[in-house]
Formats: sequence, C-alpha cells, structure tokens
Amino acid sequence: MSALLDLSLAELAARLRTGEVTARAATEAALAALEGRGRELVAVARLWPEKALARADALDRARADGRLCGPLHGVPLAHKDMFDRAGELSEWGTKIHRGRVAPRTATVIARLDAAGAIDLGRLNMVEFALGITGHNRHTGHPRNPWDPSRVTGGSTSGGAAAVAARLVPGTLGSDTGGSIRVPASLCGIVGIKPTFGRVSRHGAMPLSFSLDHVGPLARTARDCALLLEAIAGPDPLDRTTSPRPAGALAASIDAGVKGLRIGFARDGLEVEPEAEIAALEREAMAAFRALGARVHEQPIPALAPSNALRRIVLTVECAALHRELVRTRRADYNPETLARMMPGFALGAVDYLRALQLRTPLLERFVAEVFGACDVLALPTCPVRTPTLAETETGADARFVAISNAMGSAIGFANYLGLPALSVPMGFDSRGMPVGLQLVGRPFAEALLLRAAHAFETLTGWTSRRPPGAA
Amino acid sequence: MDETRDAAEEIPIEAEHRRTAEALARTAREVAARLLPFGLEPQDFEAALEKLAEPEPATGARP
Repeated sequence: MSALLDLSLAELAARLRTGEVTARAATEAALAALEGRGRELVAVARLWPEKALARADALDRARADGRLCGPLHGVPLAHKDMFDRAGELSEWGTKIHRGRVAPRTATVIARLDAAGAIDLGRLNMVEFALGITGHNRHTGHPRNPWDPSRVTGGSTSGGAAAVAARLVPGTLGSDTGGSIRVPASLCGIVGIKPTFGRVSRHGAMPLSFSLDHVGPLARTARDCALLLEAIAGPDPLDRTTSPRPAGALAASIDAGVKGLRIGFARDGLEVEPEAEIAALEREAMAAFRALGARVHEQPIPALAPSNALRRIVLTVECAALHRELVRTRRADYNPETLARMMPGFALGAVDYLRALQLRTPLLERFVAEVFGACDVLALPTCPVRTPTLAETETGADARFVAISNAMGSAIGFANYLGLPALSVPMGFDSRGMPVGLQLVGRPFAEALLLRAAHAFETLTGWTSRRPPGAA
Repeated sequence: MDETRDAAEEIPIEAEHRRTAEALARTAREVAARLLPFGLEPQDFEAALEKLAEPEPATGARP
C-alpha cells in the first residue's frame, strides 16, 4: 500500500498544497487501496475512478497555475452511501433502492468539492443507517480491519473500516444514535457528531429528522477538525441549521487542556462498562490529569430515560418515512433493520409528541447539572467490547436488539439532547481491539472537544497505531 | 383520523415489538409527569441549544 496513505489528512493536505504530492498520485493510491483492501473488508459500495482522476488532473493543473481550491485541495475522500451527488448512484445500503440515481447534491458534498476534495465514490453502510453493529445482508457485512471476524460497528461501517485501514484519510458519516461514534470506537479512529444544527443534512438520506446529524470520521482530531470546518455552517437548504459560522476549529486545536474541567461519569449509565473498558477509562483520566486537566467524577442524570425517549422519536420518525415501503416490500428489508424499526409502528402520536417535548427540559437540566460543573464530560463510547460477526448473527431476534441497545447505551442521549460528542481511541483491550473514549460538551463546543481529543491522542499515541495490513 | 390504528391495520406488528413500544411509552409518560406538569407546551429545542451554548457570535436568524 502507498506510503501516501500513511499520512494523516492534515499531512497529506499540506504536501498537496506545496506540490510535493500531486492530486493524481494521492487519488491513484487511494483508488488502488479501496479496490484491493477495501473490497476485502467489504467497505466499498462503488468507485468513480475516471471522474476522480479527471478531477485530480484538473486540480493539479490549477495548482500549477498558482490556484489552490481550498484547504482540502486534492485530498481523496469517499463517503457513506447516503450522501447524494446529482446524477450518481446513491443506494442507502439497501437493495430496495438499488439503481437509485441522486436527484441533487448534498450540501456537505458540495462544500467538500468547494474545499478542493476529490470524491472517489461511496462506501458501504448499514441498511438505511438503522443499526449499530454494522450488519448488512444486502451488501455483505463490512469487516473490522483490526480483526475481520469482528463487527465494525455501524451504521458508518464501510467508512470507519476504510479510514482505519488507511485506504482514505477521512470520510463523512451520519449519527442518529451513535453511527459515527460507535464505528469510530470499534475501528480505532476519531469521529465527531456535532451539535444539532451545526451541519446541514440537505441531500443526506433521512432516517429520523429530529435526531440525524452529519459529521466526519478520520484518524486524528485535527483531521476531523479540518473536515468539520469544511462542511459546517448555516445552509438555506436546511432550515434546522444554526446561524453560527463554522469557526476555525483546527486553529485552536493545540491550545491544550491545562485547567480544563473534565468530569467522568460513573453513575447514571444504563449499562455498566465491562471491566477492561472501565480500566482503560481510568487510564485515560490519568492521562488527562498528566496533561494538566482538573479531572473529577461527575454525576449525570440517568441516561436510560433519554435513551428510551430517543428510541421513541427514532422509531416513529423512521416508521413514518418507511411506512409505504414496509407495507409493500417488507420482505426486502434486512431483518435487523425491521427489528429496530417496528416498535415505531406501534407507538402513538401522544407518546411521540411527549418524547419531542421532553427534549428541551431534559437538555436544560443536563446542561445545568453537568456543564455547570465541568467543561467536558467523559464516558466510554461503547460499554461492551467488540463482538464477532458470528456472535451477533442471531437472526435479528430479541438478543440482537439487546446487544444493539447495550452497544448504544452511552451515546444516544447526545443525539436526543443535540449535544456535540466525539469518540477518540483510549487504548486496546486484551483481544487487541481498539476502545473509544467519548467526550461530550455543551452545545456548539466542538472546538473544545477536538482540542481535548488532540491533546489526549498526542500524549497517548493511540491514533498512530496501524491495524494489520495497513500502510 | 387515527393514523396509528390505520398503520397497525396495514402493517402486522409482532407482539415483542408491541411490548417494546409499550415499555418506551411508559417511560415517556413517567418522565413527562415529572417534567411537563402542565402538559404539552410549545418548546423550541433549537433555540434552547443556542441559548445554552458558550457565547459565540451569531450572524443572524436561522435560515
């Protein structure tokens, strides 16, 4: 595999800007890696090599003429198969939409274009982004680069696998209940779900319009900051976006965490973290202390009610979107998808409205109780260790739903409350699998979270580890 | 029109999914009884996010 792919996104972008690396060389390297290792990992949905190389050549010519298109000039990327590009296939991880041609270009894709990135194609995902293990019988289950017998996490399954295996330096994901953070955690990379409203969802497949978030996954916090800067900000095509400008996230990332109040959650979690994960979290808190942060145990409101309310909103909005398809093509869905969705058809309008109305008072309470006492809340991204594909091939029964709920038990509250949250690697378990630490902040505190994650990864070095077979 | 009953008639729902829905609805009722004593009042979630953020210049209203 090309040494170019061993570079972080920030390093690669810097070399592309100076001309030390051409966009064509970077694009060819990424395309070859995706075509090879990417197919082995079942990460790739489809590639657009001719268009990508033509764009790379155009960017190289522009650079030769002294014109740089943006901070991501010539950086090759590939994204989850739910971000539309007008005229290209966008199949949302399901055979139900096989052959679907996108009618518009997603705002986030257009913004990456404007920043100079090269779009190589689309990566596999959980069907309709509804699932946290990564399973997808229609496309094949993506494989975890650290151990191909284990799940990637989902729903940004192919994207997390591709970034972890160093096939592309970054990717876009969506997160309705952990779909960026869980695969980031299980694959040993960084992923950030920004504040609700920070990033436009226009042109991205809807799953649950009250809970859907779009954000980047990459190998480092700095890389995530560069991608988030490129895609964030108000969008007239998405009325839920905040008027706040994206801001300079990468510029403040080296500021460190000295004096920062970091609270780690013990009580309030719905699922007790496994012993190895709890031990890694203690080591992570020791690392933050060594960096000068003020670390303390932080009481939090119980997460179980927020998790339940999130499931009401998710399943009802999902049922509303899928009603006709479930009625007419039920047999074509993955059983895992239906197992997660079906309760939504049995919930009533009053329950749904209650769940929506409770968001604001629960958000106000959470921010007052937690962020009155700390700047960053820390908790394990996933309280259970990465299961094997075989362990989770249970026929989408109640056990599968229980495993899924356990995997997502520490993350869904951030979707329900709209809070920014990221996952950064905090070590490896005894099986050699990466484990993620989740950092959560008050609304629009993305810069602070990325700064804390950057300080942590710089000290610990976890994000520089390579899975077997990587560049 | 009762949308829920209409959907239930068209789409068979297994007992386990009905039980899950009932459990979720029970949670919503319990939390609402504590936090929404006056019932379903209008809430502006996005405005709450803006209000609870660290101070940062905003350029105007939501588009």
